[in-house]
Amino acid sequence: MPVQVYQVLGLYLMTTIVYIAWVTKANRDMDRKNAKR
Amino acid sequence: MEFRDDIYLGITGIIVALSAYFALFIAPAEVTMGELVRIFYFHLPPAIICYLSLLVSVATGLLYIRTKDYKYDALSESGAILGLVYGLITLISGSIWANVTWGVYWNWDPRETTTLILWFAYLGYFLLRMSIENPERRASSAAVFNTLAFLTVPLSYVSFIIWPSLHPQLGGENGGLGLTGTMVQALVMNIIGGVFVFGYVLKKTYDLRIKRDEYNSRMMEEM
Repeated sequence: MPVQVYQVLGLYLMTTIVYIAWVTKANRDMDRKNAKR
Repeated sequence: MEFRDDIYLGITGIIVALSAYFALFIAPAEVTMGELVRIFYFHLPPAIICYLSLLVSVATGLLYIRTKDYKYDALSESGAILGLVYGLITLISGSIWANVTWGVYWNWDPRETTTLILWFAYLGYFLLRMSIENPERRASSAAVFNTLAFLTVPLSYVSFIIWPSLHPQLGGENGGLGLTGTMVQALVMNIIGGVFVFGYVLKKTYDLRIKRDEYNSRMMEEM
């Protein structure tokens, strides 16, 4: 299997996972901030 | 019924894993492109998510102009964020494929160029949002700009019809991809997985914007 196939799959999956992790954390932080107020 | 993140994300993870496995190991190689056709299964879904995000963004932007309801502006901004993220994945994955088949990462092919213009148009959308402080003016100006920026989406889609292009076309005869039954299944599975991911990230991005608005309005009240 050409390495470029794994590069593209890795780019797609890793970007999605990193984005989901970031947006989940940002949501949790905002919940905490809103709860404090 | 309450939206269960964990269940939705679990189902999405299973669909994405199965479709990736199907694309990598079950679908056959293509006659002319060989194993490299598999790049296509992971390049087309982000491109579709990008177009879908921007469609949601422009439609809700227009709804904002009509109703002045900030929820539509929030959804419009969320769609534009995802359009930028998945547009970038599409551009990078496309250039990886271009380097293997054309010998260069970038050769200003009409599809590459118009997608890059699309990406910069939506980068401009965020620069515009950042430059306006008044929330109502920001939302209205962004919605109008979004309507103009969205013209780059059909332009990017039909670019290879308008101008001579090396970009492969589905079912095309000259340099196109002749996908057979199992290949089409792999493609459809990956698109479905991508749409499930899109649903999740759009909801979470929208939730975040609503929570930020809530926080900012409370801060303003306290001041």
